[in-house]
Amino acid sequence: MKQLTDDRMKVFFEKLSKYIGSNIKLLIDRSDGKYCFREKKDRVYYVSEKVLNMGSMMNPDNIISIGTCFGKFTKSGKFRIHITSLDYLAPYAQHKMWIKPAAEQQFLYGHNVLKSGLGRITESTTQYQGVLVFSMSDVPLGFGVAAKNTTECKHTDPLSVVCFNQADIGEFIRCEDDLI
Amino acid sequence: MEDITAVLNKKAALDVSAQQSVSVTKVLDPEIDLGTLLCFDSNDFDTPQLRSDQEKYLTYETRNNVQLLINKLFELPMKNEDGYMYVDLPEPRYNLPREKPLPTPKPLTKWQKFAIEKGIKKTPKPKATWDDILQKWIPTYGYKKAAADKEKDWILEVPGNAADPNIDLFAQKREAKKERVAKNEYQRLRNIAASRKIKVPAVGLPPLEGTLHSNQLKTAVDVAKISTASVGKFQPKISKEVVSIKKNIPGLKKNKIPAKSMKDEKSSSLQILESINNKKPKFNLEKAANKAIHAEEVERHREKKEGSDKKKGGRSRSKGSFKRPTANTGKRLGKQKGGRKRR
Repeated sequence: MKQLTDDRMKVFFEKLSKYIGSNIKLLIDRSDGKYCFREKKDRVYYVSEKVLNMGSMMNPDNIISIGTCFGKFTKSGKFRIHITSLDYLAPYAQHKMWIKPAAEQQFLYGHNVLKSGLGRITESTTQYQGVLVFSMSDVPLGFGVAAKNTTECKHTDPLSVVCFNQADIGEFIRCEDDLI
Repeated sequence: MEDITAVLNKKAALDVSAQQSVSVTKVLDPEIDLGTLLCFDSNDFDTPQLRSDQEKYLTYETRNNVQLLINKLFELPMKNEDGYMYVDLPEPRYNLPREKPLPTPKPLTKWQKFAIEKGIKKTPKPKATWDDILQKWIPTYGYKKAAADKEKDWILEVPGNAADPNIDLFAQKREAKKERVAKNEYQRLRNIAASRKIKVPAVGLPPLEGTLHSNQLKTAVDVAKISTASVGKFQPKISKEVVSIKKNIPGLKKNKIPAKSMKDEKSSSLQILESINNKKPKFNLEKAANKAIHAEEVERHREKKEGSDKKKGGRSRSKGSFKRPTANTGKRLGKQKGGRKRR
């Protein structure tokens, strides 16, 4: 369990801010207790102080996971977000995309969202903006990147890609071994 | 007659003594290794005899032991060839100890290692090859080969794709050869260094020619910076310098950053967050343009709606007269020209 170095913290926050913007502050500065980010084996965990103190009793070699895994640093130093962080990020999402029930399954199988499957989209979403994908009944489904901005989305043909899949809750089953 | 008996007796006595000298009895059988013709006698010395006449006693003992060895030899199957008798010695059982340790195998060169890994086998080159131009056998190396090369290359063809036809091809060839020799020498020295585990500096010796990668330059700066007597302690800082000197230098131990307290960690992470947010442009042109387009669209949509409402306003229809559309029962108008634009 390490504290993140400043460089890594920066990379991590830059990635998070793509999805929740300046709302990261709300993750760190919480009224219901102290929370922090910890790194282990290149993975970043979101841990409450209480859990952290309990974890400190154990041999760090024996700890596999602590708190909630937000993602991992790749070998080239980039940060890759994991689906496990969805529950923490979904309430703070600044740009959202709702997808129709018919397209939900395709998205959950790891495919991109087509225009035909797009139900609603936040206004003023720019191209390549990180978005959170919701079902029409407001159930968070995953992360994506907007392939087109909002106005373009309205005018494209129904078979063009609107959102690139980055992570979806189907990964809980598909990538069971990789997720911690 | 007496003479004969005397001779016979003498002979018998001699035989007995000879028999005695052949058959040797010892308390402990000496260890005999025929392969190396070795005999170990582990019996104790007879101390009084040894003290009285050491030389005679030792010779006697030695003779006996040699006799035993010879006896063993005669037990082996005899072979006869061209009137000579001989035996084949068995495999030696006793390992003679070495004075010096076993020689260590020669360390493999980088190429040899690579060749083994890839399964490349050395193909033996012939000592000499027939040269069609000179009409004679030319050795693979040596002064005769050099002489032949000189004789052969009195003229060189300028390649068709040559950038500069006036370039001295002979000088180029000489230069290339020099380079090859230098490279080989460098590799030889590197192999020696690797075998003796001498560290060859990986950095600090950037290539003299050509452009350097920015990372290489950074490393060179960092190395230069700490290459002072005080390990760079009093070195002035360049403005906007990234203070990560130790990160860039390979082989240098990294200091562990002391853990921050929860409070410090929070403040530092908030600081980082702020710096990220400050970096983002306050005014996003694309976003603003999209917003404007959207507002325009909404406006247009509303106007359209209002306009159509006004039109519809003229045709008043009571609520009761509203008919639901009936599927498959209505009249078809046939194909209309133009029609609605479909999206």
